[in-house]
Amino acid sequence: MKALPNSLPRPEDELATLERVWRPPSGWSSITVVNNTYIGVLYVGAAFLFFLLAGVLALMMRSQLAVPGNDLLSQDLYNQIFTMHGTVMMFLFAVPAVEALGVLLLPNMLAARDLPFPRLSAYAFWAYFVGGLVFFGSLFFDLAPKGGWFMYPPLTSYEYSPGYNADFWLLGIGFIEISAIAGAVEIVVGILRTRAPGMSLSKMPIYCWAMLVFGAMIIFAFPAIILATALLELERAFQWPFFIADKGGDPLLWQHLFWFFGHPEVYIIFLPAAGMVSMIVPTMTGARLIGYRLVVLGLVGTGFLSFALWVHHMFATGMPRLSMSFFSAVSMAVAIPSGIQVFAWIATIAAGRLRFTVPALFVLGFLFIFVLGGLTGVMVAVVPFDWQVHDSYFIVAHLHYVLFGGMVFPLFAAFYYWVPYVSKKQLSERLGRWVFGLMFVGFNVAFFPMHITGLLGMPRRVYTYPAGLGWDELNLTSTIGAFVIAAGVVVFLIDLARNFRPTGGKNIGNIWNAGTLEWLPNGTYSVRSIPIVTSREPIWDQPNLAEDVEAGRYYLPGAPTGGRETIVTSPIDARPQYVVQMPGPSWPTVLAAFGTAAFFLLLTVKLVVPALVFGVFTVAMVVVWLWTTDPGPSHPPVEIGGGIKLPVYLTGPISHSWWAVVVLILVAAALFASLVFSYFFLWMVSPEVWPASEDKLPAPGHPLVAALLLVASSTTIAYAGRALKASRTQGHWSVRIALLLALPLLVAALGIDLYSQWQTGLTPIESSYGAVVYTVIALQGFFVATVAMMGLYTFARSICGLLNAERRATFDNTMLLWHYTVVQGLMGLAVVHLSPRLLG
Amino acid sequence: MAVSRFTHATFRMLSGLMIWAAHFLGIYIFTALACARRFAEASWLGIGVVPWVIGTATLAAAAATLVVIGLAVRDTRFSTSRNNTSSFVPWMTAAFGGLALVAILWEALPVLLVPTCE
Repeated sequence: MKALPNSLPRPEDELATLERVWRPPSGWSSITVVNNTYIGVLYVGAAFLFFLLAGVLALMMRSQLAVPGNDLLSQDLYNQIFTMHGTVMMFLFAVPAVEALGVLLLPNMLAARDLPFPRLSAYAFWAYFVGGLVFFGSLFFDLAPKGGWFMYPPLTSYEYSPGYNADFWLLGIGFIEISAIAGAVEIVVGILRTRAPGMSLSKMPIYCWAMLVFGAMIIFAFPAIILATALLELERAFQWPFFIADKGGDPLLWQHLFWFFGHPEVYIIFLPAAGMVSMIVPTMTGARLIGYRLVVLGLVGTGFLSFALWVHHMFATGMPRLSMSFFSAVSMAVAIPSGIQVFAWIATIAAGRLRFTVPALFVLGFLFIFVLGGLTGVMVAVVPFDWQVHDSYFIVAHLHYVLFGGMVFPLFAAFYYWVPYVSKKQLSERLGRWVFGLMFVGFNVAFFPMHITGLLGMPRRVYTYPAGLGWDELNLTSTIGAFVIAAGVVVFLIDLARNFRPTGGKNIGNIWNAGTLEWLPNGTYSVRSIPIVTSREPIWDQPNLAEDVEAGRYYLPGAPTGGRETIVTSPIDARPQYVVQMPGPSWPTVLAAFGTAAFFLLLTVKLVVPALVFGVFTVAMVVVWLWTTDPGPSHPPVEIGGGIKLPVYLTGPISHSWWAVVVLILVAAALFASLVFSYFFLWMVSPEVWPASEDKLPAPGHPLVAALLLVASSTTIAYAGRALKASRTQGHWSVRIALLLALPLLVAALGIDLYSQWQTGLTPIESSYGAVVYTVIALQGFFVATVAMMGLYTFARSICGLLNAERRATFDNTMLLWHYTVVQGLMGLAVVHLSPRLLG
Repeated sequence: MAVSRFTHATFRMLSGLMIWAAHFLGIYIFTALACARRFAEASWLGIGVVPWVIGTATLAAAAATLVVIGLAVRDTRFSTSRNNTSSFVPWMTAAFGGLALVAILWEALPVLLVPTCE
């Protein structure tokens, strides 16, 4: 047998050190915990809490609709309730729930000690949890939004929705968007860079593939909704007319931006759930997943195609039929990668011997319900059929079959499947069967009749209806079904109360005889030693793996740097590259999260000064949090076993922090691309508000000077980068001067552009042209402010002697975003100054 | 360097789907412009400008995707192990290319059946 990297017996204090280093804080400081095992459980619990709250809203709606002419809820309250039901389910339950499970499961599935940015996960959780609770509380003060979860203007603009209700939606979910993006950065970098040695892309568990696609989709989809909410809030607060037709705006711009996010959102929720199913099915059948590569094709293909489906939510808006047909075609094409996954699961079930456990029952329920939802999805992809059922209860039925079937059932399967991974006790099989039975029957009783109610013409979102239209019994049946689902959820809560005993340390472990790494014996430090992976189901294929890992015979069996650390591996073949030292619990992280939530919520109710105070407080806390996270080569290379000695700090493109900034730049680029799309969309629909001749535009000298300043700024930063590399001392004044010089160049370029537009007499309120031009400048201003703060932070670290040729991750991060800001600025100048001249 | 190898592998694997994305956006934006700015009526040899552009773009995209698939299939023959990354990347490249090809042809089909700007 090939020798393992580390021999036995292990040093006496090795395990004790590992446990001490990873011990969670206690008392009041427990709130600062960052370990995935704790944050992950809290995160899942919070998401489930919002599922319960939004579920109660659903029961209130169904009670109102149980009989015709009911006056249980007023029309206005009903509007708030259905808006909050959809918004909370999508933004506060579904996305956070799948992200939370990722945070919980991924480190152990990858055999990493934790994901690479544990404080970022904690920040994402606390901002979401605190902000989400306050957002939900708006219902109790008659302040909840009431424009539907997709908040179409002009209904939601200042004229028809005065008051704070719509603002709660627009600003209130800002922290959720930030939280989702923070999670995506963590997950993408974690999956690509902290896999166990040997776990190449072709051996990665399918769930990791699903979460990788999930992260990538958040990166490209969420910026569209961030921009949309910013534009609508600008219109509401300052009358910038992006969506007002009289001033060259177009309400359809909102729909394009919203659904460019909104349709991928469905798959952002579904693909992780599909990933869970692909993990559960092989375990429950004892057979390997049939068609691993085809399932990867299905996940990635679905992720890609889902970005070309957004218009199928807009078939009734009067677009040209040929344009709609493109989206109709892709809506059908996406059935191919989805179908591949379904057939792979069926084939795996057929190849093995299915154990009818509770997770397996939920998977079967998912297959049945999701396939029905997929079939009605193909039906509504057909434009003429969609016209017939648009905005009817048929759509309500379809979307619940897809979302409840496609996400909630797999989530419950996941609860029953992975509880042994975090708990001292497994949930009850007997109660679990009741949960499944009640939910499955209740779901179909509630939602199947809605297909018929919709075909009979009942529209969505009506708070009551007259008797005698043929809808009475169907609605009553749906209401009964909804309460049966609720009964299932109540039984689940009883099961949780009786049996769920979360533990950061020893759990009951691999009761299913599963094959993947999260089922190795683990503690707060994840696995005792990090294994070498040679197959997709290492526990099935590598004899004695669990025992050898637990004994410390594989890599990094202790904590050689005396702190928290994990191995960073190469992204394709997972070869060990370096050991990353990871930060531990931190108060500033939690306070920054509270500050973020407070900033957005205070801004919502127009308490601008307190909001700014919290904004400044948040930035200060982030600075304190980050100050210790660039330790430099403070420790000599460490032996991880097998004769491998790894450095504990690396910079440049190999560094995990470089990767995180690249992911952030992709988010920024997607945001800017959404704005450029908005510019040209408005130009296409309202050419009359664009400058009729060149003399209405700023003189070409202004943008030329601005462009030169931008290039000079980037060049100065590049010079600083080279000077830092060449510097052998701490006091490298050339780097500091370059940093200080590059900043005014950037600000001057922005100022010149702003001045050039203003002096032509253009204002942001007179037309959509003015509004979008000033938004391009404002976005650039946001990035200039951000890199200015980063530049000053880097300067401060230099002054404090924390920056040198080796210890330069902070500088590299600033440099990357700086160059991006310059490129975005140049493209913004081209769009605003060049395109009107070229396009006329 | 690891990053450049990863970037190369990623772009290679996703090349078929990126061709599909470019084709999809191209034909959608061109059709929207032709209808909004009313130049869709222009024709050559009795065929409208929109069908001409969509037809040409589809042939170009399909040809490019076929090249991607062909090169990937050739590379998979050199590899024997099914778990090997060296066979995984070309295999996925060909598979994504195949899906992209179906989507490209499928989304172009309506131009033969549906009026352009009605």
